[in-house]
Amino acid sequence: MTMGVHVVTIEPSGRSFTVEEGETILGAARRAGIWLPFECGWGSCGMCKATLVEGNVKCMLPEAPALSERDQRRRRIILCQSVPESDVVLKGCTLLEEPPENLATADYRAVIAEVEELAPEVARFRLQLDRPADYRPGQYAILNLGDGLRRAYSMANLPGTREVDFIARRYPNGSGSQKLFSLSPGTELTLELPYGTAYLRETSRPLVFIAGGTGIAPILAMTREWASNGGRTGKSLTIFYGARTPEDLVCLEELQQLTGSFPQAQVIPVVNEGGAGWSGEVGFVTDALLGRLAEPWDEYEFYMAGPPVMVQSVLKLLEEEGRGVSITQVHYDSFG
Amino acid sequence: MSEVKEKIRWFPVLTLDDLWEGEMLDVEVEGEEVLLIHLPGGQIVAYQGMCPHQEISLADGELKDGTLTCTAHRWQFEAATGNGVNPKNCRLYRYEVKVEGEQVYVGFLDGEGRRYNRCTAK
Repeated sequence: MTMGVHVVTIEPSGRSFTVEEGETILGAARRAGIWLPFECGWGSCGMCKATLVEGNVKCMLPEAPALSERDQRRRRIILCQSVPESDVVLKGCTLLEEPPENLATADYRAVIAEVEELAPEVARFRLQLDRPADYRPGQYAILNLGDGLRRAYSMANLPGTREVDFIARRYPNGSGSQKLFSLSPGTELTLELPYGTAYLRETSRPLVFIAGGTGIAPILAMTREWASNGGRTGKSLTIFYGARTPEDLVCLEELQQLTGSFPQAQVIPVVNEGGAGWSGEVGFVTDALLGRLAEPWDEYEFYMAGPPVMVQSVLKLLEEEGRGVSITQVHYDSFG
Repeated sequence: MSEVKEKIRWFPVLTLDDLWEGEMLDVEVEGEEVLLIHLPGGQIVAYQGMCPHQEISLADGELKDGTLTCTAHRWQFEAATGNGVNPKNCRLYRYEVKVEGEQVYVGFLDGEGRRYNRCTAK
């Protein structure tokens, strides 16, 4: 046996597979044709939790939102971020007969085709894939940026072509975004997609899309889908698009163009700092929702993408007693 | 309603020092996943261990201020009753529980079919 290759066995079925050096258990299972429950692939949803019966794993994201102190005591681990350090025996996770709905994740080879600056420190990365990408608008990919560095980015364009667009911000202390921004056209990498379940459902309810910062990428993809279907999904579409400053609203024009010919669509930009010449909403997205979204809120179907702090505060607002928004009408992904 | 209070088969699952007040724990009873909650005040309740939404273990969730939240999709239930908080139109199957001394038992009602409620997201 090669150094670094470990065997994972799932009890009580006894199904086992090998995991290469640095591979996550979830990824290795999939490559071995074994589907385990998952959704976000990133440690937010907790769907891939399992009990570690024997062996050791390294968690690539110890601060994962889905992990609690209780999980540590109970030896519950998230398979999407766990890399074996020895042979491992697991229990308490279901073996699926097929991929979860709309989550037939696959590996793609990619090359960076184009990098377009949208604002200072914000860029659109266009990648050329080895074959057409299969996903639902609103879903995301996990990019392998090299040296074991992985990051999740949502597709901003429609599926079915060999091109995928990602929108990213460079953070001064963000090793992932720093690495991504250091890659120039021609660089090859691999990625996995799709992940996430915040994709558009068939509905007759009025739709509300909420985007914060680069969370505009999946919202843009869903708006493209909505527009390409002739705006027939949902009774109406209201898009709240929040960012720090007006210049950070990098896709505002694109959004307005996409929805411009639909009288039932409305785009509401929101910034934290307006300044001279800004006549739109100022404050947090939650302020704009309270000020501009007509009651009753339990009529709407909500989709949102953005920084975890925005997602959490919108969720809190929607779940407040009296508003009565059912959590089944709220779709979001929340990864940092 | 049948006139006989159905017979209950009791299974010992844990002792009180396994489950402190305010905590929850999952156990397996005859192949079924059962969630036990020790409510503030001392009462112990038992519910289906899997979320009615999808096959997610509720014991992976969060128990706070009398509300049980499933981590995966934030479905919430009242810890004391198993009734849905959000969404409302959903509730957890509730098992019979008895405590004798330190020993906690979970009971299956004879003749009962599925001890697992399922709800769809619509």
